[in-house]
Amino acid sequence: MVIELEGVSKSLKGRTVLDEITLTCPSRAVVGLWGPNGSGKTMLMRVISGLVKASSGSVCVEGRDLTRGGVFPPSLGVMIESPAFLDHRTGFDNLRLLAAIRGTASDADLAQALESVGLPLQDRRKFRAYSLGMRQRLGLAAATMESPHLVLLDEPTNALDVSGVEMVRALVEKQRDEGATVVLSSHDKAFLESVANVVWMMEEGRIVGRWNHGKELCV
Amino acid sequence: MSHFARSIRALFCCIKADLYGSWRTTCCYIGAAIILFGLLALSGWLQAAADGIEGPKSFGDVIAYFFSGSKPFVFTRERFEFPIGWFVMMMLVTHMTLWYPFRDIRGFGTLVLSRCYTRWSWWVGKCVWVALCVLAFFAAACIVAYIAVVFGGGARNLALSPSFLTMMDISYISPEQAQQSLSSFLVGAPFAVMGCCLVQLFVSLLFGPTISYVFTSSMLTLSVLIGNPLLWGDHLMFLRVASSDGAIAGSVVDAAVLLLWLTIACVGGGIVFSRTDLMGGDSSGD
Repeated sequence: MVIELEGVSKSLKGRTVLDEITLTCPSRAVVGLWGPNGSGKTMLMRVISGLVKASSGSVCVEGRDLTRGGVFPPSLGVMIESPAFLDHRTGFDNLRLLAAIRGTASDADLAQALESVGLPLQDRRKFRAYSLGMRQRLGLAAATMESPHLVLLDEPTNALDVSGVEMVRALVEKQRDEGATVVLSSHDKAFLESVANVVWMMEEGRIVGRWNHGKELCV
Repeated sequence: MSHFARSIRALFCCIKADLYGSWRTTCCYIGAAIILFGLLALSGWLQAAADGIEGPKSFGDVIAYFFSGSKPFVFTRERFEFPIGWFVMMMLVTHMTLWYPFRDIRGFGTLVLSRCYTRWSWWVGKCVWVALCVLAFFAAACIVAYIAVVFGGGARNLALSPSFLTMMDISYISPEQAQQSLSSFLVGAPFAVMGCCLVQLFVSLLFGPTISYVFTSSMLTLSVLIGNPLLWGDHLMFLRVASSDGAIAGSVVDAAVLLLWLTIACVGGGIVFSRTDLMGGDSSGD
């Protein structure tokens, strides 16, 4: 399993935001998180990504124990909330800065990532001139450009038009086909049903249900 | 590539991202610092003219005047003059390093951090960024002092003139001793400012930038009034350094105190940061 959560809880200022979450995610799968605002989807993604430390329980991602805090999954692409980049640099320059940290993506990979999200490489506009939809697309490109083993996408279809939603679907499926585990959250139940192998339903910090559309999970 | 090599690579990338992300704002602060130093240089000459003595003549005079500060407050009949110029300068340099880390970790920094192998790369990168900003600040001071001396026709060295020592009310110190004090001050002061800014960064992790800045302001105000090596004023004001007896033991104590502040800030901050929940701009728990 790529993700193994056992009894994970998180409290903030006396309020329980995650309550005894236990779930597993295999490789080559798309896992959806669905629930209303405040249900804990984003917080769960933060715990899986290592940005937030669980108050209790165990968190194991790609064989790495994140329970202690301070470490990250070894191969992670993440887009949580509104993606933020450097205002005075182009989209490509921003991606290049990020790609240099691990050094696993070439300029050709970055160009391909931009093309796959519908942002032309020739566009020399600075990030500050981007629309909301373009910013979202750049965030998706950043999350997938290094072909990570685990991709976390929080509300990936926000601010996107119909063609943008189709782009996200194609992107997610491509990542899965390349062997990644994709975890994405959305309010859009229909979108999750169309793309996810399994969807976990959350409410008030708890997993309240799960549905599987009969698609066989590749383990 | 070994884990250490990857961490070093991540560290350099963090520093590069910080420089790209902050250089415009930092330039604005440096610009403000240049204006402030220019005004301080002018005020030095005006004060000397008012006292009927020669103004700051050499590069050493001007630099020492910038960072002169004041002697500790002593309850006497003499009016205590709060070193406003020095205080504004300290507020400026600490504010310069205050907000960027806070905004970065809630923005682009999250994307950077998630690619680093541990949080220490990001934290050490921020410490290096603070150090570079402080060095830029001191470089601005040196440049303005040099320009002032070029226009004023003074000596371009660290020698302190007797008239300047009189103006600063430390004429009991010989010019040679004063120059020696200035030399050691110019070596130690950047580290002292770095320590101040890094402690501020550490406190901002715990309580946020606003409370951190209040803490910094309070500590600096306290250090104006009270002379104590544990407070920052004794390391950041030339008058305090020059007025000390210059004993080797005292220098060792000062260096140890600076090292203590730097260690608490860097190591303590790293430990705290590695355990901090990174909530982004939203703490609603969604």
